[in-house]
Amino acid sequence: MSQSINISDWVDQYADALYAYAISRVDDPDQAKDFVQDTFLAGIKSYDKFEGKSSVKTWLISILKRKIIDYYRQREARKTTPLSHFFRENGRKGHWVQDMAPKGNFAEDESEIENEELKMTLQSCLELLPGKWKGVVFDKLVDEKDSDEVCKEHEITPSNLWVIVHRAKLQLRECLEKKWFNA
Amino acid sequence: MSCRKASYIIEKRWVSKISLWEKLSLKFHLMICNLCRKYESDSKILGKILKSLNKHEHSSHLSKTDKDALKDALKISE
Ligand SMILES: [Zn+2]
Repeated sequence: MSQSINISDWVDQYADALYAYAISRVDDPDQAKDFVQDTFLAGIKSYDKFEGKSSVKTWLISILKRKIIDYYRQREARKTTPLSHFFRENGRKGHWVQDMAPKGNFAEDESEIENEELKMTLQSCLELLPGKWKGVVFDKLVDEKDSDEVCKEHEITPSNLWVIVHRAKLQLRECLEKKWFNA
Repeated sequence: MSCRKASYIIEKRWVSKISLWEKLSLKFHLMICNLCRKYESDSKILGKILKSLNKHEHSSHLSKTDKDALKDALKISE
């Protein structure tokens, strides 16, 4: 029983804030709208348990955050590239595999950072990351959130965070080099 | 130090504090390793492009039509 919720008021008051948060995470308007609806549904269902310790808006956002994390978690893990793809396992152990050696040519296009096509290319590279990494990369490297906060939200340790950032950047660098800088 | 470790410390350094030992061994590795210097340069630019994704091209508001549809959907499922 949803005591004293006026659904229309809720939507008018909170839908924009929820949607703004969702769209910044999923970059897909339809998916973001689904998240907003699911969040309201969950909110209506569990309003009895809302203790009023925070504002309704903060409480709904926390439900939404949880849903987005679950969504990334449930999505089938994309292929993670093994470190042996980048670094040699014999001979000069731990050195760059010849084909993977960074070319250092990103700096040549530094002036193009605001180029929309470049951003779209990087976005498509991000899509290839495992779901869990993607959320972490967004929070830490795109939104530059505090590391402690990112660890708490994604239930990982600081060294998990460093490993994810390292592996994700290796993959993103390779992807962007192939799709953009060498294209 | 291997390039594998060096690239790890390079990435760790962008997001966290690193120890004095890590700092010195990275510095030494970068002096002798041209490829990791290139990696560091690429990684820095990649970091900047990632940050620039912050500004999204999608509208961050729902339209009135979207909100009305949302209200209807929620009322039905209530
Ligand atoms: Zn090296």
